[in-house]
Amino acid sequence: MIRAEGLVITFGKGTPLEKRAIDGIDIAVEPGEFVSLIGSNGAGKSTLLSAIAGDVAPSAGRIIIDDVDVTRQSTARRSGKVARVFQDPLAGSCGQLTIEENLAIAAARGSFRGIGSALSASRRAVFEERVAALGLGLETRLQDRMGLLSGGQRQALALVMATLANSSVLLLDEHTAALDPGMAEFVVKLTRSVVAEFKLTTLMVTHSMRQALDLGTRTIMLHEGKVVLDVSGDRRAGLSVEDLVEMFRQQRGETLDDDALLIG
Amino acid sequence: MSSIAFFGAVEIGLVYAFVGLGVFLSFRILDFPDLTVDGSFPLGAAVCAVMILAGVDPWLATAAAILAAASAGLVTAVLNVRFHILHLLASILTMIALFSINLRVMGRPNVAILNSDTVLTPFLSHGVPDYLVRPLFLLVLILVTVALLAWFLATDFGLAMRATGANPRMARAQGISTDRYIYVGMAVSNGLVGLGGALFAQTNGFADVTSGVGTIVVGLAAVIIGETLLRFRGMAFILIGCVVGSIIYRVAIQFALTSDVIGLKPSDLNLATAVLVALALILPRLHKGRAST
Repeated sequence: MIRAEGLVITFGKGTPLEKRAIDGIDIAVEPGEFVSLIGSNGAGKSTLLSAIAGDVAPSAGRIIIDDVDVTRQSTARRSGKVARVFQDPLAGSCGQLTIEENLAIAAARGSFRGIGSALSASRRAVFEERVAALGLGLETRLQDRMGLLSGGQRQALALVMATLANSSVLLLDEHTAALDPGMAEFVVKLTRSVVAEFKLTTLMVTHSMRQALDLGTRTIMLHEGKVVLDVSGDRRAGLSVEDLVEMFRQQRGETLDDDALLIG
Repeated sequence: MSSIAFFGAVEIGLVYAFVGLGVFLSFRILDFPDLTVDGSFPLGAAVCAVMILAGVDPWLATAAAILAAASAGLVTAVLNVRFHILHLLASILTMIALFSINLRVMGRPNVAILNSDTVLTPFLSHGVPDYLVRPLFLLVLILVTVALLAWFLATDFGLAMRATGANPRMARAQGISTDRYIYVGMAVSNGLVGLGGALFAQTNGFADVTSGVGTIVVGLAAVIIGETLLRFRGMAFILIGCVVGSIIYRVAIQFALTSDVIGLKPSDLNLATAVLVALALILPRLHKGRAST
């Protein structure tokens, strides 16, 4: 469960470049809900994700995850609840470490990191099973460096890493945007099955209207740091990509009119 | 080169292998270029020498040297992590401060402990010549250290430290409080360098405030020569590479300085080291450049 209450995030406060990236957002995402977040560049999608993850501190408002107020908690502290997959396939894992070492780091997420062996036999067995389930043949390459893999392979492993430790929230930041179409489709499928299998409350940022409607149970559109569309259930099922694009245009058009008025 | 000179070079190489391991930890694992070592090496030597002169058990004095050097590393880490001073500058500040501190610790620029008992004393005068006992003793010690480090870096804690240096954003997203690992890593790194300093004082019979000049470059030389010559993958082998690199470096320098052909003088040591490290840093890059075009 994720709740944002009166969330405001201002960058460069008190400077000429001050920008309200998030301008008063109230949303409640129920357990198991899969939300796709859309909006134009600078709408605040990624900022919202970063705020939930803890990388960006809110200027006002609260963030609550699983009934715990995490607003002032560091990224590391709340990581036990929050798993994350970045847009850049290189950002989510360490290229210099082996595949199994990366998996071991993810497996210990949210628990105390002591001086026990990171690659115990039991962990290795789990890694092998989970990686084999991807069907990419990577289970035989667990001792290869992560840096040797393709972006798609790394992104698939990032999804495995996101689910090795028990977390309740999954944040996906355009996680298929940097992949070739074939691999993107593979990762989308994988996302669907992972979210269903682990019953994760998911927030996915995407630029693809098709993906926004195909994946998930609810779609939220942000514009200039505000929620301008929030659909789920039947209403969402009735929406076509064209409808969404039209709404998207309307939002952008309105700002153009505003600007025109100001200049005029 | 005589065999005594050769084993002398191996011995000093083994002493600086501790520095190599420390520099590997800061430079390669944490991605933290740390010049503190130029101060923490003589600090280790100074603390150890002064305590031995005061009649403290040499092992205890060595442990105190490690702790003193580790806290120097911690100071650098705090300046960087807590107060956001650029890592290079933070370490230079600590290094400069340590010059004064080392003079305070010793009370004068150098202290001799030639006639005092050291950790080596129990192993000497058993029929084996001293110039062999010293490197053997150091070899055992460095192998134990390598084993401990290799084990440490394969634990959950050690892996988190490696992630901290390799990809801090990923590390934080995986619940790793990167600050804490930088503190611990810098303390361990400088502790190893301090141990090197303490062993330097005990094998050479003195501590000198200027003995730290260029420590970072010597440590780097060990790391880079090890990496260039031995292209191993496993962590234990990479660490052994640092040790071998340190020995090879010392033997090569010894050879260059004693052979009349090249015409180098002992005072050219730092120049030779800097040229060697620069070459070692440039050569792989040139190779890569050619491969990519």
